[in-house]
Amino acid sequence: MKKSKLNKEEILHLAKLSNLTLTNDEIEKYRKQLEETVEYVENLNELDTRKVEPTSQTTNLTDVFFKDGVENKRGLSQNEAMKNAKNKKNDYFVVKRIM
Amino acid sequence: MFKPVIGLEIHAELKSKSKMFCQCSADYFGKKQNSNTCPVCLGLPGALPVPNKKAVEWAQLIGKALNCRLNRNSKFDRKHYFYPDLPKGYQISQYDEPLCSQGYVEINQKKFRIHRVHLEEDTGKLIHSGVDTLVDFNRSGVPLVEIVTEPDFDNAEDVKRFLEELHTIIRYLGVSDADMEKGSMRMEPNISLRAIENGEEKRQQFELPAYKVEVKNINSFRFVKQAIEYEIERQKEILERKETPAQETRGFDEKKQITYSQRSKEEAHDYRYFPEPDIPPMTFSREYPDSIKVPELPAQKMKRYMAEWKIKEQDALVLTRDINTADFFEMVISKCKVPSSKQIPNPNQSIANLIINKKIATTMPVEEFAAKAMELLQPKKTDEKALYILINQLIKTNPKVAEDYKKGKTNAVMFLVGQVMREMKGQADAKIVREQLENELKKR
Ligand SMILES: [Zn+2]
Repeated sequence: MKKSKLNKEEILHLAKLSNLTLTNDEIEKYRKQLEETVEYVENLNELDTRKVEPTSQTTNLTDVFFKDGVENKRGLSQNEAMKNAKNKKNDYFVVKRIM
Repeated sequence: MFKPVIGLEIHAELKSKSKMFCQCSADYFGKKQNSNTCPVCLGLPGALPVPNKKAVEWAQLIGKALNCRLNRNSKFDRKHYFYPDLPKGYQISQYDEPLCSQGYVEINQKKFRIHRVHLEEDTGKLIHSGVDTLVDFNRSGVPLVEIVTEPDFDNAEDVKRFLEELHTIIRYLGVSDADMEKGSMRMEPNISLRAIENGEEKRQQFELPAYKVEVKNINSFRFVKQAIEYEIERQKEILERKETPAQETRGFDEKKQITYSQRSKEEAHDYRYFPEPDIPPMTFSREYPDSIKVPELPAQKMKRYMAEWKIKEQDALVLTRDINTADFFEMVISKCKVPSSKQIPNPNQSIANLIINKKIATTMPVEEFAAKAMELLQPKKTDEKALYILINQLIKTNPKVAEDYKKGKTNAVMFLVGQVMREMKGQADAKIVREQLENELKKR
Protein backbone atom coordinates (compact mmCIF):
# COMPACT_ATOMS: atom_id res chain seq x y z
CA MET A 1 0.00 0.00 0.00
CA LYS A 2 1.35 3.35 -1.03
CA LYS A 3 -0.84 6.10 0.31
CA SER A 4 1.38 8.75 1.82
CA LYS A 5 2.85 11.07 -0.71
CA LEU A 6 5.00 13.82 0.71
CA ASN A 7 5.53 16.84 -1.46
CA LYS A 8 8.42 19.25 -1.66
CA GLU A 9 6.59 21.98 0.28
CA GLU A 10 6.06 19.65 3.23
CA ILE A 11 9.75 18.79 3.32
CA LEU A 12 10.66 22.48 3.19
CA HIS A 13 8.22 23.21 6.01
CA LEU A 14 9.74 20.48 8.16
CA ALA A 15 13.23 21.72 7.33
CA LYS A 16 12.27 25.20 8.40
CA LEU A 17 10.81 23.92 11.68
CA SER A 18 14.08 22.11 12.34
CA ASN A 19 16.19 25.08 11.29
CA LEU A 20 17.84 23.07 8.50
CA THR A 21 18.97 24.35 5.11
CA LEU A 22 18.59 21.69 2.42
CA THR A 23 20.02 21.54 -1.09
CA ASN A 24 17.71 20.47 -3.92
CA ASP A 25 19.27 17.01 -3.91
CA GLU A 26 18.74 16.69 -0.18
CA ILE A 27 15.12 17.75 -0.48
CA GLU A 28 14.44 14.88 -2.87
CA LYS A 29 16.53 12.44 -0.82
CA TYR A 30 14.73 13.24 2.45
CA ARG A 31 11.36 13.34 0.76
CA LYS A 32 11.86 9.74 -0.34
CA GLN A 33 13.28 8.57 2.97
CA LEU A 34 10.61 10.24 5.05
CA GLU A 35 7.92 8.88 2.76
CA GLU A 36 9.23 5.37 3.32
CA THR A 37 9.25 5.94 7.06
CA VAL A 38 5.69 7.17 7.10
CA GLU A 39 4.61 4.25 4.94
CA TYR A 40 6.30 1.85 7.33
CA VAL A 41 4.45 3.33 10.29
CA GLU A 42 1.22 3.11 8.35
CA ASN A 43 1.50 -0.67 8.55
CA LEU A 44 0.07 -0.22 12.02
CA ASN A 45 -3.23 0.74 10.44
CA GLU A 46 -3.69 -2.90 9.46
CA LEU A 47 -3.95 -3.89 13.11
CA ASP A 48 -7.33 -3.98 14.77
CA THR A 49 -6.84 -1.64 17.74
CA ARG A 50 -10.49 -1.09 18.59
CA LYS A 51 -10.08 -2.74 21.98
CA VAL A 52 -6.67 -1.29 22.79
CA GLU A 53 -6.46 1.66 25.14
CA PRO A 54 -4.34 4.47 23.72
CA THR A 55 -1.10 4.94 25.61
CA SER A 56 1.82 7.29 25.30
CA GLN A 57 4.42 5.24 27.10
CA THR A 58 5.47 1.65 27.39
CA THR A 59 6.85 1.31 30.91
CA ASN A 60 3.48 0.91 32.65
CA LEU A 61 4.80 3.23 35.30
CA THR A 62 2.75 6.10 36.68
CA ASP A 63 3.46 8.91 39.12
CA VAL A 64 7.22 9.00 39.17
CA PHE A 65 8.37 12.11 41.05
CA PHE A 66 11.25 13.41 43.09
CA LYS A 67 10.89 15.24 46.39
CA ASP A 68 11.72 18.93 46.09
CA GLY A 69 15.27 19.66 47.19
CA VAL A 70 18.61 20.65 45.68
CA GLU A 71 21.02 17.82 44.91
CA ASN A 72 24.29 18.77 43.26
CA LYS A 73 25.58 15.29 42.44
CA ARG A 74 24.68 15.65 38.77
CA GLY A 75 25.28 19.37 38.56
CA LEU A 76 27.80 20.71 36.05
CA SER A 77 30.35 23.38 36.82
CA GLN A 78 30.46 26.38 34.53
CA ASN A 79 33.54 24.88 32.86
CA GLU A 80 31.92 21.50 32.32
CA ALA A 81 28.73 23.07 30.99
CA MET A 82 30.63 25.14 28.44
CA LYS A 83 33.23 22.52 27.54
CA ASN A 84 31.77 21.28 24.27
CA ALA A 85 30.27 24.55 23.03
CA LYS A 86 31.56 25.60 19.63
CA ASN A 87 30.74 29.26 20.11
CA LYS A 88 31.18 30.88 23.49
CA LYS A 89 32.01 34.25 24.91
CA ASN A 90 32.51 35.25 28.56
CA ASP A 91 30.99 31.94 29.67
CA TYR A 92 27.86 32.46 27.59
CA PHE A 93 26.81 30.25 24.71
CA VAL A 94 26.72 32.38 21.58
CA VAL A 95 24.43 32.31 18.56
CA LYS A 96 24.01 34.77 15.72
CA ARG A 97 21.91 37.68 16.94
CA ILE A 98 18.23 36.76 16.63
CA MET A 99 16.46 40.05 17.35
CA MET B 1 -18.97 49.60 16.37
CA PHE B 2 -16.43 47.21 17.77
CA LYS B 3 -16.22 45.29 20.99
CA PRO B 4 -12.81 44.18 22.33
CA VAL B 5 -12.30 40.46 22.99
CA ILE B 6 -9.39 39.95 25.37
CA GLY B 7 -7.87 36.81 26.86
CA LEU B 8 -4.80 36.41 29.04
CA GLU B 9 -1.87 34.09 29.49
CA ILE B 10 0.05 34.48 32.72
CA HIS B 11 3.29 32.74 33.61
CA ALA B 12 4.52 32.49 37.20
CA GLU B 13 7.79 30.91 38.26
CA LEU B 14 7.40 28.65 41.27
CA LYS B 15 9.78 29.17 44.16
CA SER B 16 10.44 25.48 44.77
CA LYS B 17 13.92 24.59 45.97
CA SER B 18 14.86 22.67 42.83
CA LYS B 19 13.98 22.91 39.16
CA MET B 20 11.03 21.22 37.46
CA PHE B 21 12.70 18.09 36.09
CA CYS B 22 16.10 18.01 37.80
CA GLN B 23 17.53 18.86 41.18
CA CYS B 24 19.48 21.96 40.21
CA SER B 25 18.57 24.98 42.33
CA ALA B 26 15.52 26.89 41.10
CA ASP B 27 17.04 30.03 42.61
CA TYR B 28 19.09 31.21 39.66
CA PHE B 29 18.94 34.92 40.42
CA GLY B 30 22.33 36.63 40.54
CA LYS B 31 24.32 33.45 39.86
CA LYS B 32 27.30 33.32 37.48
CA GLN B 33 26.07 32.58 33.96
CA ASN B 34 25.78 28.89 33.08
CA SER B 35 26.85 27.79 36.55
CA ASN B 36 23.48 26.30 37.57
CA THR B 37 22.88 23.45 35.14
CA CYS B 38 23.01 19.69 34.77
CA PRO B 39 22.55 17.30 31.81
CA VAL B 40 18.75 17.46 32.19
CA CYS B 41 18.23 21.22 32.10
CA LEU B 42 21.00 21.64 29.54
CA GLY B 43 19.16 19.20 27.30
CA LEU B 44 22.07 16.81 26.87
CA PRO B 45 21.18 13.58 25.03
CA GLY B 46 20.25 10.69 27.27
CA ALA B 47 19.36 12.73 30.35
CA LEU B 48 16.14 11.66 32.05
CA PRO B 49 13.70 14.30 33.34
CA VAL B 50 11.76 13.45 36.52
CA PRO B 51 8.99 15.79 37.72
CA ASN B 52 9.23 17.68 41.00
CA LYS B 53 6.31 16.63 43.22
CA LYS B 54 6.12 19.97 44.99
CA ALA B 55 5.82 21.85 41.70
CA VAL B 56 2.90 19.60 40.71
CA GLU B 57 1.18 20.20 44.05
CA TRP B 58 1.71 23.94 43.85
CA ALA B 59 0.30 24.13 40.33
CA GLN B 60 -2.74 22.27 41.65
CA LEU B 61 -2.93 24.62 44.63
CA ILE B 62 -3.06 27.58 42.24
CA GLY B 63 -5.70 25.77 40.19
CA LYS B 64 -7.82 25.05 43.24
CA ALA B 65 -7.53 28.65 44.45
CA LEU B 66 -8.83 29.70 41.03
CA ASN B 67 -11.82 27.36 41.41
CA CYS B 68 -10.54 24.91 38.80
CA ARG B 69 -11.26 21.23 38.48
CA LEU B 70 -8.15 19.20 39.35
CA ASN B 71 -7.92 16.50 36.70
CA ARG B 72 -7.65 12.86 37.76
CA ASN B 73 -5.26 12.16 34.88
CA SER B 74 -2.55 14.45 33.63
CA LYS B 75 0.63 14.15 31.61
CA PHE B 76 3.47 16.12 30.12
CA ASP B 77 3.96 16.77 26.41
CA ARG B 78 6.75 18.04 24.23
CA LYS B 79 6.18 21.38 22.55
CA HIS B 80 8.62 21.76 19.68
CA TYR B 81 10.05 24.98 18.48
CA PHE B 82 13.47 26.17 17.51
CA TYR B 83 14.84 29.00 19.58
CA PRO B 84 18.24 29.43 21.24
CA ASP B 85 16.76 29.72 24.75
CA LEU B 86 15.47 26.16 24.44
CA PRO B 87 18.35 23.67 24.64
CA LYS B 88 16.39 20.52 23.69
CA GLY B 89 14.53 21.95 20.69
CA TYR B 90 11.33 21.35 22.67
CA GLN B 91 9.86 22.53 25.92
CA ILE B 92 8.30 20.05 28.31
CA SER B 93 4.82 21.43 28.80
CA GLN B 94 1.25 20.13 28.97
CA TYR B 95 -1.10 19.92 26.03
CA ASP B 96 -4.37 18.01 26.18
CA GLU B 97 -4.29 16.85 29.81
CA PRO B 98 -3.41 19.88 31.94
CA LEU B 99 -3.32 19.56 35.73
CA CYS B 100 -6.30 21.90 36.19
CA SER B 101 -9.12 23.20 34.04
CA GLN B 102 -12.31 25.26 34.04
CA GLY B 103 -12.06 27.68 36.94
CA TYR B 104 -12.97 31.29 37.51
CA VAL B 105 -12.03 34.39 39.46
CA GLU B 106 -14.75 36.68 40.71
CA ILE B 107 -14.12 40.42 40.97
CA ASN B 108 -16.88 42.84 41.89
CA GLN B 109 -19.56 40.27 41.12
CA LYS B 110 -18.09 39.68 37.65
CA LYS B 111 -16.82 36.20 36.86
CA PHE B 112 -13.80 35.77 34.63
CA ARG B 113 -13.33 32.19 33.53
CA ILE B 114 -10.03 30.32 33.73
CA HIS B 115 -9.52 27.95 30.82
CA ARG B 116 -6.64 25.95 32.28
CA VAL B 117 -3.66 25.90 34.62
CA HIS B 118 -0.71 23.80 33.59
CA LEU B 119 2.93 23.21 34.41
CA GLU B 120 5.96 23.60 32.18
CA GLU B 121 9.65 24.46 32.33
CA ASP B 122 11.14 27.91 31.96
CA THR B 123 13.67 28.59 29.21
CA GLY B 124 17.17 30.02 29.31
CA LYS B 125 17.84 33.72 29.27
CA LEU B 126 18.93 35.58 26.11
CA ILE B 127 21.02 38.72 26.05
CA HIS B 128 21.27 40.49 22.71
CA SER B 129 24.60 42.18 22.29
CA GLY B 130 26.12 43.53 19.08
CA VAL B 131 26.00 40.84 16.42
CA ASP B 132 25.58 38.12 19.06
CA THR B 133 22.86 36.67 21.15
CA LEU B 134 24.27 35.29 24.41
CA VAL B 135 22.60 32.38 26.20
CA ASP B 136 22.55 31.67 29.93
CA PHE B 137 20.83 28.41 30.92
CA ASN B 138 20.71 28.98 34.70
CA ARG B 139 16.95 29.59 34.46
CA SER B 140 16.37 26.68 32.09
CA GLY B 141 14.05 24.16 33.73
CA VAL B 142 12.69 26.34 36.53
CA PRO B 143 9.03 25.35 37.18
CA LEU B 144 6.64 27.64 35.41
CA VAL B 145 2.88 27.67 35.91
CA GLU B 146 0.84 28.90 32.97
CA ILE B 147 -2.62 30.25 33.64
CA VAL B 148 -4.86 30.74 30.61
CA THR B 149 -8.14 32.63 30.84
CA GLU B 150 -11.12 32.48 28.51
CA PRO B 151 -11.48 35.58 26.28
CA ASP B 152 -13.88 37.07 28.84
CA PHE B 153 -12.54 40.62 29.06
CA ASP B 154 -13.76 43.54 27.02
CA ASN B 155 -11.78 46.40 28.58
CA ALA B 156 -8.31 47.14 29.89
CA GLU B 157 -9.45 48.21 33.36
CA ASP B 158 -11.03 44.81 34.11
CA VAL B 159 -7.86 43.12 32.90
CA LYS B 160 -5.75 45.21 35.25
CA ARG B 161 -7.96 44.44 38.24
CA PHE B 162 -8.01 40.75 37.39
CA LEU B 163 -4.22 40.64 37.15
CA GLU B 164 -3.83 42.50 40.43
CA GLU B 165 -6.19 40.06 42.14
CA LEU B 166 -4.40 37.06 40.59
CA HIS B 167 -1.04 38.45 41.68
CA THR B 168 -2.33 38.87 45.24
CA ILE B 169 -3.77 35.34 45.25
CA ILE B 170 -0.50 33.80 44.07
CA ARG B 171 1.43 35.73 46.72
CA TYR B 172 -1.06 34.52 49.37
CA LEU B 173 -0.44 30.93 48.34
CA GLY B 174 3.28 31.44 48.95
CA VAL B 175 4.24 29.44 45.86
CA SER B 176 5.84 32.21 43.80
CA ASP B 177 7.43 35.58 44.39
CA ALA B 178 5.41 36.75 41.39
CA ASP B 179 7.97 39.54 41.16
CA MET B 180 7.44 41.30 37.87
CA GLU B 181 10.67 43.27 37.98
CA LYS B 182 12.65 40.04 38.19
CA GLY B 183 10.43 38.43 35.58
CA SER B 184 9.01 35.76 37.85
CA MET B 185 5.52 36.79 36.73
CA ARG B 186 4.91 37.59 33.04
CA MET B 187 1.69 38.57 31.33
CA GLU B 188 0.55 38.20 27.76
CA PRO B 189 -2.79 39.63 26.70
CA ASN B 190 -4.30 38.60 23.38
CA ILE B 191 -6.56 41.16 21.84
CA SER B 192 -8.97 41.30 18.93
CA LEU B 193 -12.06 43.30 18.05
CA ARG B 194 -15.48 41.94 17.17
CA ALA B 195 -17.64 44.00 14.83
CA ILE B 196 -21.05 44.76 16.23
CA GLU B 197 -23.97 45.96 14.14
CA ASN B 198 -26.95 47.44 15.92
CA GLY B 199 -28.88 44.58 17.41
CA GLU B 200 -26.53 42.02 15.92
CA GLU B 201 -24.48 41.74 19.07
CA LYS B 202 -26.39 38.80 20.47
CA ARG B 203 -26.06 36.68 17.38
CA GLN B 204 -22.35 37.29 17.07
CA GLN B 205 -21.57 37.07 20.72
CA PHE B 206 -20.11 33.59 20.62
CA GLU B 207 -18.13 33.96 17.46
CA LEU B 208 -14.54 34.92 17.98
CA PRO B 209 -12.87 37.30 15.54
CA ALA B 210 -10.87 35.75 12.71
CA TYR B 211 -7.53 37.02 14.00
CA LYS B 212 -5.76 37.46 17.31
CA VAL B 213 -2.91 39.74 18.32
CA GLU B 214 -0.72 38.61 21.20
CA VAL B 215 1.40 41.08 23.14
CA LYS B 216 4.34 39.30 24.75
CA ASN B 217 6.07 39.53 28.09
CA ILE B 218 4.76 42.67 29.71
CA ASN B 219 5.99 43.16 33.25
CA SER B 220 3.65 45.64 34.90
CA PHE B 221 -0.11 45.95 35.30
CA ARG B 222 -0.02 49.51 34.06
CA PHE B 223 1.82 48.49 30.89
CA VAL B 224 -0.71 45.72 30.22
CA LYS B 225 -3.45 48.32 30.41
CA GLN B 226 -1.57 50.69 28.11
CA ALA B 227 -0.76 47.94 25.61
CA ILE B 228 -4.42 46.86 25.44
CA GLU B 229 -5.67 50.41 25.04
CA TYR B 230 -3.16 51.02 22.27
CA GLU B 231 -4.07 47.77 20.49
CA ILE B 232 -7.79 48.52 20.60
CA GLU B 233 -7.21 51.85 18.86
CA ARG B 234 -4.74 50.40 16.36
CA GLN B 235 -7.01 47.53 15.37
CA LYS B 236 -10.08 49.76 15.20
CA GLU B 237 -8.35 51.93 12.66
CA ILE B 238 -7.43 48.93 10.48
CA LEU B 239 -10.93 47.47 10.70
CA GLU B 240 -12.52 50.79 9.82
CA ARG B 241 -10.50 50.68 6.60
CA LYS B 242 -12.27 47.33 5.97
CA GLU B 243 -9.02 45.43 6.44
CA THR B 244 -8.19 42.64 8.89
CA PRO B 245 -5.32 43.12 11.35
CA ALA B 246 -2.53 40.59 10.92
CA GLN B 247 -2.49 37.62 13.27
CA GLU B 248 0.82 38.20 15.00
CA THR B 249 2.91 38.57 18.11
CA ARG B 250 3.77 42.08 19.17
CA GLY B 251 6.06 43.59 21.77
CA PHE B 252 5.36 46.61 23.97
CA ASP B 253 7.58 49.68 23.96
CA GLU B 254 7.31 51.10 27.48
CA LYS B 255 8.77 54.48 26.64
CA LYS B 256 6.63 55.19 23.59
CA GLN B 257 3.66 53.28 25.04
CA ILE B 258 3.03 51.54 21.75
CA THR B 259 3.09 47.95 20.54
CA TYR B 260 5.31 46.85 17.66
CA SER B 261 5.43 43.83 15.38
CA GLN B 262 7.81 41.04 16.42
CA ARG B 263 7.93 38.97 13.28
CA SER B 264 10.94 36.92 14.33
CA LYS B 265 8.92 35.24 17.08
CA GLU B 266 6.17 33.75 14.96
CA GLU B 267 7.96 32.12 12.07
CA ALA B 268 6.15 28.85 12.39
CA HIS B 269 3.61 28.07 15.06
CA ASP B 270 3.61 24.39 14.41
CA TYR B 271 4.51 22.94 17.77
CA ARG B 272 4.03 19.24 16.90
CA TYR B 273 2.99 18.38 20.45
CA PHE B 274 3.32 14.78 21.48
CA PRO B 275 3.35 13.00 24.84
CA GLU B 276 6.68 13.20 26.65
CA PRO B 277 7.78 9.54 26.48
CA ASP B 278 10.33 9.95 29.27
CA ILE B 279 7.80 10.90 31.93
CA PRO B 280 5.10 8.43 33.03
CA PRO B 281 1.61 9.91 33.32
CA MET B 282 0.24 11.22 36.60
CA THR B 283 -2.89 9.86 38.26
CA PHE B 284 -4.79 11.30 41.20
CA SER B 285 -7.41 9.67 43.39
CA ARG B 286 -10.91 11.02 43.78
CA GLU B 287 -10.04 12.15 47.32
CA TYR B 288 -6.73 13.71 46.36
CA PRO B 289 -8.01 17.27 45.70
CA ASP B 290 -9.15 17.45 49.35
CA SER B 291 -5.55 17.13 50.45
CA ILE B 292 -4.63 20.35 48.63
CA LYS B 293 -5.37 22.99 51.24
CA VAL B 294 -6.11 26.51 50.01
CA PRO B 295 -5.49 29.17 52.67
CA GLU B 296 -7.87 32.05 53.26
CA LEU B 297 -7.72 34.16 50.09
CA PRO B 298 -7.70 37.98 49.88
CA ALA B 299 -11.38 38.29 48.94
CA GLN B 300 -12.43 36.05 51.86
CA LYS B 301 -10.13 37.87 54.25
CA MET B 302 -11.61 41.18 53.20
CA LYS B 303 -15.14 39.94 53.84
CA ARG B 304 -14.12 38.59 57.24
CA TYR B 305 -12.49 41.87 58.29
CA MET B 306 -15.69 43.69 57.42
CA ALA B 307 -18.06 41.19 59.05
CA GLU B 308 -16.08 40.22 62.15
CA TRP B 309 -14.14 43.36 62.93
CA LYS B 310 -16.39 45.96 61.29
CA ILE B 311 -13.54 47.37 59.23
CA LYS B 312 -14.55 49.83 56.49
CA GLU B 313 -14.63 48.26 53.03
CA GLN B 314 -11.90 50.45 51.53
CA ASP B 315 -9.61 49.81 54.50
CA ALA B 316 -10.27 46.06 54.42
CA LEU B 317 -9.27 46.13 50.76
CA VAL B 318 -6.03 48.00 51.47
CA LEU B 319 -5.12 45.70 54.36
CA THR B 320 -5.60 42.52 52.33
CA ARG B 321 -3.67 43.46 49.16
CA ASP B 322 -0.45 42.15 50.61
CA ILE B 323 -0.33 39.00 52.74
CA ASN B 324 2.39 40.50 54.96
CA THR B 325 0.25 43.53 55.80
CA ALA B 326 -2.77 41.31 56.47
CA ASP B 327 -0.74 38.99 58.71
CA PHE B 328 0.73 41.97 60.56
CA PHE B 329 -2.71 43.48 61.10
CA GLU B 330 -4.14 40.23 62.43
CA MET B 331 -1.23 39.69 64.81
CA VAL B 332 -1.52 43.25 66.15
CA ILE B 333 -5.26 42.78 66.67
CA SER B 334 -4.62 39.59 68.63
CA LYS B 335 -2.04 41.33 70.83
CA CYS B 336 -3.81 44.66 71.40
CA LYS B 337 -6.28 44.74 74.23
CA VAL B 338 -8.04 48.05 73.78
CA PRO B 339 -11.52 48.35 75.26
CA SER B 340 -13.99 50.17 73.12
CA SER B 341 -14.99 53.50 74.56
CA LYS B 342 -16.76 56.68 73.61
CA GLN B 343 -13.54 57.99 72.11
CA ILE B 344 -12.61 54.71 70.46
CA PRO B 345 -15.84 53.00 69.48
CA ASN B 346 -14.08 50.38 67.32
CA PRO B 347 -10.52 49.66 68.41
CA ASN B 348 -10.05 47.29 65.45
CA GLN B 349 -10.77 50.07 62.98
CA SER B 350 -8.44 52.36 64.95
CA ILE B 351 -5.65 49.78 64.68
CA ALA B 352 -6.39 49.47 60.96
CA ASN B 353 -6.05 53.25 60.66
CA LEU B 354 -2.72 53.23 62.48
CA ILE B 355 -1.37 50.69 59.99
CA ILE B 356 -2.86 52.27 56.86
CA ASN B 357 -1.86 55.83 57.76
CA LYS B 358 1.55 54.58 58.90
CA LYS B 359 1.06 56.39 62.22
CA ILE B 360 3.47 53.84 63.64
CA ALA B 361 6.13 52.23 61.47
CA THR B 362 4.93 48.78 60.38
CA THR B 363 8.52 47.67 60.08
CA MET B 364 8.86 47.17 63.83
CA PRO B 365 8.13 43.85 65.54
CA VAL B 366 4.45 43.09 66.20
CA GLU B 367 4.86 43.29 70.00
CA GLU B 368 6.41 46.72 69.83
CA PHE B 369 3.79 47.94 67.41
CA ALA B 370 1.00 46.58 69.62
CA ALA B 371 2.46 48.30 72.70
CA LYS B 372 2.70 51.63 70.89
CA ALA B 373 -0.80 51.22 69.50
CA MET B 374 -2.22 50.54 72.96
CA GLU B 375 -0.50 53.64 74.28
CA LEU B 376 -1.93 55.77 71.46
CA LEU B 377 -5.38 54.29 71.81
CA GLN B 378 -5.47 54.64 75.60
CA PRO B 379 -8.31 57.00 76.61
CA LYS B 380 -6.56 60.25 77.51
CA LYS B 381 -6.61 61.08 81.22
CA THR B 382 -7.44 64.73 81.66
CA ASP B 383 -6.20 66.72 84.65
CA GLU B 384 -9.55 68.42 85.33
CA LYS B 385 -8.20 71.04 87.70
CA ALA B 386 -5.39 72.17 85.43
CA LEU B 387 -7.85 72.22 82.56
CA TYR B 388 -10.29 74.48 84.46
CA ILE B 389 -7.58 76.99 85.26
CA LEU B 390 -6.20 76.99 81.74
CA ILE B 391 -9.61 77.41 80.12
CA ASN B 392 -10.49 80.45 82.19
CA GLN B 393 -7.13 81.96 81.56
CA LEU B 394 -7.47 81.53 77.80
CA ILE B 395 -10.98 82.93 77.69
CA LYS B 396 -9.71 85.99 79.52
CA THR B 397 -6.78 86.54 77.17
CA ASN B 398 -8.96 85.99 74.08
CA PRO B 399 -12.01 88.17 74.68
CA LYS B 400 -12.71 88.38 70.93
CA VAL B 401 -13.28 84.64 70.74
CA ALA B 402 -15.66 84.68 73.68
CA GLU B 403 -17.57 87.50 72.05
CA ASP B 404 -17.76 85.71 68.69
CA TYR B 405 -19.02 82.61 70.43
CA LYS B 406 -21.77 84.55 72.15
CA LYS B 407 -22.80 86.04 68.82
CA GLY B 408 -23.45 82.51 67.60
CA LYS B 409 -20.17 81.72 65.88
CA THR B 410 -19.93 78.45 67.74
CA ASN B 411 -17.00 77.36 65.61
CA ALA B 412 -14.87 79.99 67.29
CA VAL B 413 -14.47 77.54 70.14
CA MET B 414 -12.23 75.36 67.99
CA PHE B 415 -9.48 77.98 68.15
CA LEU B 416 -9.49 77.70 71.94
CA VAL B 417 -9.59 73.87 71.82
CA GLY B 418 -6.42 74.02 69.75
CA GLN B 419 -4.80 76.36 72.24
CA VAL B 420 -5.72 74.15 75.19
CA MET B 421 -4.49 71.00 73.50
CA ARG B 422 -1.21 72.69 72.75
CA GLU B 423 -0.74 73.96 76.29
CA MET B 424 -1.59 70.52 77.70
CA LYS B 425 0.73 68.86 75.21
CA GLY B 426 -2.00 66.57 74.02
CA GLN B 427 -2.55 65.13 77.48
CA ALA B 428 -6.26 65.85 77.35
CA ASP B 429 -9.26 64.44 75.61
CA ALA B 430 -10.33 66.89 72.92
CA LYS B 431 -13.98 66.03 73.44
CA ILE B 432 -13.85 66.88 77.16
CA VAL B 433 -11.87 70.03 76.44
CA ARG B 434 -14.52 71.24 74.05
CA GLU B 435 -17.36 70.46 76.47
CA GLN B 436 -15.63 72.31 79.28
CA LEU B 437 -14.80 75.28 77.08
CA GLU B 438 -18.39 75.63 75.92
CA ASN B 439 -19.63 75.36 79.51
CA GLU B 440 -17.36 78.20 80.57
CA LEU B 441 -18.12 80.33 77.52
CA LYS B 442 -21.83 80.01 78.13
CA LYS B 443 -21.36 81.26 81.70
CA ARG B 444 -19.98 84.57 80.45
ZN1 LIG C 1 19.48 20.79 36.04
